Amino acid sequence: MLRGLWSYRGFIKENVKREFQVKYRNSLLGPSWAVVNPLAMIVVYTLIFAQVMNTRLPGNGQPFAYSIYLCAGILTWGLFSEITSRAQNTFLENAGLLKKVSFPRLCLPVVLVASALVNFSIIFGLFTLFLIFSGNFPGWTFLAAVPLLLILVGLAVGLGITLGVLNVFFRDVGQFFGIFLQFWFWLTPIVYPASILPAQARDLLVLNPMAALVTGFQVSLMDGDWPEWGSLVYPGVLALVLCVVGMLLFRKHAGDMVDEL
Amino acid sequence: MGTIVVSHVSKAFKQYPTRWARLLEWLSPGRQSRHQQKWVLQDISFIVRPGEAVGVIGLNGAGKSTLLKMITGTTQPTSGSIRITGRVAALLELGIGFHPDFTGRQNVVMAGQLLGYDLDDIAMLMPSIEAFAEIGDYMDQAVRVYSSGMQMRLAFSVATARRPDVLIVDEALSVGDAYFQHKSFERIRAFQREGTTLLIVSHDKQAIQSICDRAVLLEHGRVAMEGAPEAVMDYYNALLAAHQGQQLRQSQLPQGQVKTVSGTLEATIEAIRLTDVQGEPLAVAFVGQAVKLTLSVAVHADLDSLVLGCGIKDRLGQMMFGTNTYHTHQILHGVKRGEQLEFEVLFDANLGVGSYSVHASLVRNHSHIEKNYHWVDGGLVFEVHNRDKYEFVGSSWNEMSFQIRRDAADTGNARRATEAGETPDRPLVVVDVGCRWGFAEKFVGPDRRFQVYGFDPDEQECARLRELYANQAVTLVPMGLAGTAGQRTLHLTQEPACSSLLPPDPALTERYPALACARQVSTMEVATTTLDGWAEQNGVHAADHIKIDTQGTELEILKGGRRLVQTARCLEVEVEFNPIYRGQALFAEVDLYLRSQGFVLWKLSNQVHYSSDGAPTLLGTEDAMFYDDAQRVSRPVFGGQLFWANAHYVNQSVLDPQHLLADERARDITLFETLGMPDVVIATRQYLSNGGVE
Repeated sequence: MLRGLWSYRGFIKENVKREFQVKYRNSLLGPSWAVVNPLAMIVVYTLIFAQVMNTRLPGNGQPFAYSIYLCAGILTWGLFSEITSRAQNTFLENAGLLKKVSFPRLCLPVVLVASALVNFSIIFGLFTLFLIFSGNFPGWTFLAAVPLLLILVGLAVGLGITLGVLNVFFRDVGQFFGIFLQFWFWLTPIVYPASILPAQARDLLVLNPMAALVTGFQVSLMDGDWPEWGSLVYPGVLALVLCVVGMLLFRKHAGDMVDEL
Repeated sequence: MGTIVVSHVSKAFKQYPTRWARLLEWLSPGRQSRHQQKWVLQDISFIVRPGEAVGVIGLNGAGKSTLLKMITGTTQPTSGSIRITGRVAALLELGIGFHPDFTGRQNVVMAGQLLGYDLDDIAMLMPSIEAFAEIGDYMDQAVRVYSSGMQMRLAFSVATARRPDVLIVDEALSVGDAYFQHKSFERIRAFQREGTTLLIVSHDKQAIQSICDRAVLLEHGRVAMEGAPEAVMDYYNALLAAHQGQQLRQSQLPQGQVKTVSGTLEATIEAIRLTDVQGEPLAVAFVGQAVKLTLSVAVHADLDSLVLGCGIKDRLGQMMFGTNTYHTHQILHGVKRGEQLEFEVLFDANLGVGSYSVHASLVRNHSHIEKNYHWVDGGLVFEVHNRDKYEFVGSSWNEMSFQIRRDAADTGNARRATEAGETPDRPLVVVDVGCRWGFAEKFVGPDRRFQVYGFDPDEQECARLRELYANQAVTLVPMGLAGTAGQRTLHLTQEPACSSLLPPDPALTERYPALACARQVSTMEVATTTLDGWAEQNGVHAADHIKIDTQGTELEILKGGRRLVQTARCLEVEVEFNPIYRGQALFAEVDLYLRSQGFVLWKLSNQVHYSSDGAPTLLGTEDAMFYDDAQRVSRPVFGGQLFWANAHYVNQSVLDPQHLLADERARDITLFETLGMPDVVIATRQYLSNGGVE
């Protein structure tokens, strides 16, 4: 399966390139929208929560602290949600191609993950520049982003492919996951710090794999501390399991998929 | 390379009784089956060998597209296997999965990569893809703004940018305009010639029949028939009309064509006969011959409406032409049970040489889809031979005439060198077919300006004439001329000059005393040749004047001397207005033919009338000829019917002297003066006296 993918690497590469071009092809400002969008969101949250509602992070009086906290969560959540929500639709969206051309179907999720990573690296790069110039660069703990991202992408891909295959056969999955993702966002301490939650709710947060990941980003990017490695075991294992489940499901039903499209 | 082996392939789709059933099945621990299998294809086996072209046909829902999808690998068979070798290019469902937001060019790159090309290959192929698709500036616009025809053009161009070992085409040929269809067909044919294996799904009969070596008919997911495309197509057509209670039968005719019969049989075609217009049965028709089809129909039930369809199909089963009585507004209404009907269909066998079959059908209305009483394909098979036409290719006969103008670029010099009336340096060639008596008087003289050839099958007469013109440039050829070379029967008549290759009509020769000369007394076999055949053998490249007087066979001689006739400046042909010899061509036919060859009628002379009272003393009327509406020349007509005359034809180019070479103009003047037709070259003289300007 991997060898098939490798021989289609040219196709994958070109597709990522084209997707990027197409996204901004008919817009005047072009790729700058890739930046403006999340920037606007950060501004909105910062304004509403930090200024209007006067939220302050407990124990941190810096003016940019909340913004950094917010970015660390929102940007990484954005990557997660882009991959999962697009992956669950990828087979449906590319029905035309799948029905007409025989090619390794895994190319589709690979293209999608790659282009999501491209988008992410642009915005995350800007965020890093902001950290550096505002004098908030955390130092060595910045490197914690690498294992965190690996786990996050693994989790997103495993979940995305599983949902993608299921969605072909049960279209409810797509509808349901859209709603689920909204709840999930608010059940993850991205906009708010986990510390403001009541104790029993904080215990339940352990079940949310994204909570540990997002917290890891926040801690390493804002506070300059290393993430609590123990809390990452659960998301890491879950990512592995979901990837295996996704692949098994895909292999089992890939043949039937075209008949259902 | 390029083999497709489909062995025992079946495909079932899962059908679940409710939406929840699938979920239950997925979730139930023992994977208890809750679906039914809907078999769309069952036990399909066939092989497409390298270089072969196979068509897959079938009604909608027969499983054609599913089969192609499995062959191209986009979906898997439930059981059985498909093996395919060589590089495959497939055009499924009018596209190759273009992305609507990408430009045509980007899609070409993407599709190219899916086909296994790398970027360098694609860059190299791009100009030719662009050129073949001919979609202009759209190439750099998003595919979403394309018309379906443009998408198809581009898809076809990419998929066929390089010759694949196997080309799989699904219906794609039926979209796009006629221009692009032709173009894509040409490419497919070219691939086929170079050895590409083809698998085509189409409803288009023409496509299947003209490209495929074999056809596979799918019906209800099974191979219903596999064989020669025309037989399979006929069966398929009958299938289209397959209502309940219809019978469908195929049998092999001796000639190898397959006869297909189907219908509900309320009315049946009992017999089909092909005859000439006189009713003589024909197994062989000649190109262009007027023929008649007679169809006997028995009616077995009261019918409110009955339409007969009839057409001619070629060896490959392609319809040459055909129509029905609905289109000719001859629908029969209120036909009663027990009636016997006879339809006569008259047409000219304007067909190429080959074998043809008759298709006939009895339907209720304009097509067989609604109600098909009886349908007969290959009901009668006949051959078409070429007897009197020049050689041609193709499956329909349509007389072509070539008008050749050679660029007169160097006329300026020639013009200056030649003065009006100058003697031509090459003798003028005169051919007289059916020469007798003192035929060459006009053309002989001391200056030897003419070379005369005379033809007559009568050896004695030839010997006599040879003596008469002993020291002149006169050559006598003791041969009969005809439309073809070979042996023919010469019908010798009371007066030898009336002898003909055609039999005189006794009804006339007995009735008209003046025609008694044409009474047949005996026959003899003579060798015939064609004018062109003789000219070639004897190195005669041109004949300036041809006179033909052969008692009825003038037209066939003209046709057998097509090349030589085209070189002539002037023709004199005896033409008949009423047939004296059986089967002879009449004036109208000669006139039409010579016009198609670039000649115009200049005048008729020697109009001969015959009356049955034998003594043309009865002054019928006075006839007159008018010249330019001013000069009236009157002559008496002694009653009786007009039978024949001499028709004088002039090559059209004689009348356009400005396009001629100086030498040609001089020759024309000499020729027409000698023939006593100076009026033909008035324009030429004027042209020369004006110094060669208009």
